[in-house]
Amino acid sequence: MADITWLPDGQETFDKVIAAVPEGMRAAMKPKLTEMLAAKAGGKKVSRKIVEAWVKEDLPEPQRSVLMSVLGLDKPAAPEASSLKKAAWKVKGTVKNAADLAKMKAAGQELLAPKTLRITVASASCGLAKGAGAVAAALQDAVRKQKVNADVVMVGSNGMSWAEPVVSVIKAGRPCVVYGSVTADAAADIVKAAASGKVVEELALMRVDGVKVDVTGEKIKYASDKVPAALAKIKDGAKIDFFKKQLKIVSRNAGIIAPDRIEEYIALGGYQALAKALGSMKPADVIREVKESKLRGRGGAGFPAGIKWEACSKAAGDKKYIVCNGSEGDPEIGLHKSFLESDPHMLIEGMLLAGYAVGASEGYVYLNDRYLLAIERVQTAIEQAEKVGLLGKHILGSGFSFSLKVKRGGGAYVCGEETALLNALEGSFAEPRPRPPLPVHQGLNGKPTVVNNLETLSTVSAIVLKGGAWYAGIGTPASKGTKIVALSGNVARPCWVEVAMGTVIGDIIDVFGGGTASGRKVKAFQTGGPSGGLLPASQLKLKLDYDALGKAGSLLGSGGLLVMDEDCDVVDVARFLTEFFLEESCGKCTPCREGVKRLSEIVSCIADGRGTKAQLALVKSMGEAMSAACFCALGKTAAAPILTVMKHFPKDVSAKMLKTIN
Amino acid sequence: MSDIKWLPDGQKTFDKVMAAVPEAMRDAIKPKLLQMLAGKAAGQPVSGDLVKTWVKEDLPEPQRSALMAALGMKSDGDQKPAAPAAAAAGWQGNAEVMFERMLQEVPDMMREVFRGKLMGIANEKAKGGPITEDHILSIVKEIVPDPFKTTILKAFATMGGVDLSNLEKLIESTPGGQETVIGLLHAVQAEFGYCPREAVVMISQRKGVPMATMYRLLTCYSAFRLEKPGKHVVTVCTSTGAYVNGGGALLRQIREKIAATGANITLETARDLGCANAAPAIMVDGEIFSGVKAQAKLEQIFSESN
Repeated sequence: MADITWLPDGQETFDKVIAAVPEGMRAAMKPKLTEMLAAKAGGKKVSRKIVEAWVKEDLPEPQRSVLMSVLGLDKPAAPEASSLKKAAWKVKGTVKNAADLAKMKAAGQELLAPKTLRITVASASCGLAKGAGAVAAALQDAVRKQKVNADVVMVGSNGMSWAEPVVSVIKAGRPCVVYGSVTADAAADIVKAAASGKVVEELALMRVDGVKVDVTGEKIKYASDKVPAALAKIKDGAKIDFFKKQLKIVSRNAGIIAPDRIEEYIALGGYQALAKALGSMKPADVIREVKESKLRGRGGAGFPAGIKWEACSKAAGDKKYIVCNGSEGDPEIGLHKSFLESDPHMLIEGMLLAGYAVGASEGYVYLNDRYLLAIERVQTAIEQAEKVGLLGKHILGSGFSFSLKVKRGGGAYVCGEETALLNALEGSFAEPRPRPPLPVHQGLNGKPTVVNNLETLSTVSAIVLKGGAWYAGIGTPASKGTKIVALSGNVARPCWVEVAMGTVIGDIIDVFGGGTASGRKVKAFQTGGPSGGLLPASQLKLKLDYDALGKAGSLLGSGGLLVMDEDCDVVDVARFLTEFFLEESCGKCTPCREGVKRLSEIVSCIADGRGTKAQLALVKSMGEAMSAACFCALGKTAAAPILTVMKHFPKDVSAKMLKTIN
Repeated sequence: MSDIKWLPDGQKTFDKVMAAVPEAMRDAIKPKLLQMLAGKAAGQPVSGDLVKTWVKEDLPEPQRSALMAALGMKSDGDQKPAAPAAAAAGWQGNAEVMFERMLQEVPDMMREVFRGKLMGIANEKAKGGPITEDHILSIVKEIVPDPFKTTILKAFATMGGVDLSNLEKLIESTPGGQETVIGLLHAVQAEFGYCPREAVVMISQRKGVPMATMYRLLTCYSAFRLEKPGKHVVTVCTSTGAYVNGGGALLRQIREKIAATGANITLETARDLGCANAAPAIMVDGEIFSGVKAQAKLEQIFSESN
């Protein structure tokens, strides 16, 4: 037998080859094969690679094919992971007490304002849709080629969705420079300018001298007070209306921190509220603060969160749950989820606080099935929180234990209704349950359950830190605090912003959205999703307020604000929205199942220009009947789009009437 | 090499034997065979008949049958009638395709012999009924040696059948009952692009959820496909924002083009792709496009899918 020096993996691979030879011939074949392999190796030690190359290059067919498949060589090599997919962030250390938290905070601050260069790419869904992934890859490439020492980080969105992809350059001692509408081609220039203290002026949106988070009191100063000459022409971000007129509580970290680095959340005061609650507050104290804050449910109905929590904490049960409602099925809510994609830990901290307050040990984050990025980021955040010990047993050395899971929905609008959502979590059908019992008494698996919207839960950490009274000082008498609003439709600058309750809707459209994209006047707008119907331009002076919008026949909803200009056919939009209800009706109750079907037929007929007065009368009475008889809010409000159009846009409707009959 | 005295027909017969050995192994195996044959001859000159006797008595299966056929000898079917080379009562499902795929692994020379033998076994298993996929599977699992077994089973898995091994592992590592079903269905759809019946049946059986319930879940949630999608999946954003920006017209345009060209494209809608800054947007195979890029991408996939 030829002499062969084996490496362990070479021997192993060769054994596989021999095992593949039919038994009857094995003994006869082995010397011959060994000889061939020895020749191939030419005196070198035989590794797996050499055996594989020999099988691939030297053996005759059909043996070659058979052996290639045995050795797994027939599969195409896995494509190289794109440079965008960086290795998962590894968290170091644990957080068992306040000292650990302070240590991790320092580590996070070092990441946010490093001595070297930090280049961030806004990569919520709105950024990725505009090519943020390619830009990040190009930046990394440029950093490598130019041999610059820089950390290229995927962060969340700062709200300026129209300017995506947004890139920020942070260099010690200099203001942060924010670029907008960056392309992959511009990456090399940006890196070059960053390394040499210059600016690519034509792409620069603004400069930011530092970060000051009012809620937590954390500050990060990027620059000394003197503005370098190279940056003199760039606008100061602190003086731009887009930021000046916002009040950032829930979105305070968005666009600054990397959603997949728990240290960066902690750096800006993250998990301080949890430490405060576990360290110095009783569960009843937390509930008292939330009650005092007058925080109302951000999902649409506006039920006071503190009262819900109190009811659940008093309910008898050996086990209780916290459920985050991230169903978000409204067809114009798109950018609303950006805050979650940008800062998932804020939701986790809110759920921990809710769990502590009501005595729950388990939580579920239920997310819309299309929110893949949000699901991934919340999942990563949960894993990191578990790893450092902020989720799990005896959190921060207390007696409080809490576990959290993400559940991906199946795609049903009705799951925004909390009992239908509970059904979905239990693996049942997307249909609402009768109430009572209320979920706070018998919710998930029949146990007391708090179901809160994701924005509601994300607000809690700020309330616990700064107190309910502080929060109650913001907003209007009926609506406290801030609201995230996602602007879409015919608007010059689609974006998402956080503003104080009571902000005038017309101002939101003008200041943040820059008016209509077409430049024509606003004709109609919609808040609160399809259930809100359409409101006319004369109502633009309405304030962002549960009661004010309710009185106007609409609702605050979960935060979409849709704009339509003068050219918009509002009757056609009513048809579109009625068809939405038709698709999403679960069919459980007859008034909704049959009512929406007939309603949709009639509205479609009107929108086609074949309307009659009798139909309008029928729509009215059907709307009343459905509002009274339907099982849940979906059916109750399904007639809202056409009814509001009939009420506010009579000219548009009469233009759709059949001329011969009427 | 042992000394062999050949009679002319002995040499000829042995050459035939060698010709039947796959070429790649011929050189390696020849000395071994000669040695065996010399042992059989025990010093006597080797005749054609001796070679035949040696093949019949001393060689292991399946080489024995193959060589007997190559030498034109009758198989042991002397007592039994030869196995028919056709399915006695026809095939069921993919059984015939699977049977042929299995035979592909047999070297050309021996294929016909194997066909007869394996068909006999299959007919026996079928007990007078049609041969089913399960019969073929059990033949492969019980009779065929590795690595051919692995190769054939792998080939079966990609033959339009469904390889449920990943799902099986996932179910085993997912404790719980009906509350796990939606998650499992998401995993199935991520692997296959839709929820094949076989996978749904497996979840139904393992999780104790009736098929009627499974079907209702699959249809009340819009995320699940019951049919295999086309070569490309185009998802048009039908958010209200996209609609007022021309999303309805875009949807109509794509729908009509698919109808007109018969392109192998699955068209779906999503209530909100979450990118109002790019409205109206479309998603093609998971990637979001808008504006001019969307039109260019659509043109590309239409030209690919015709």
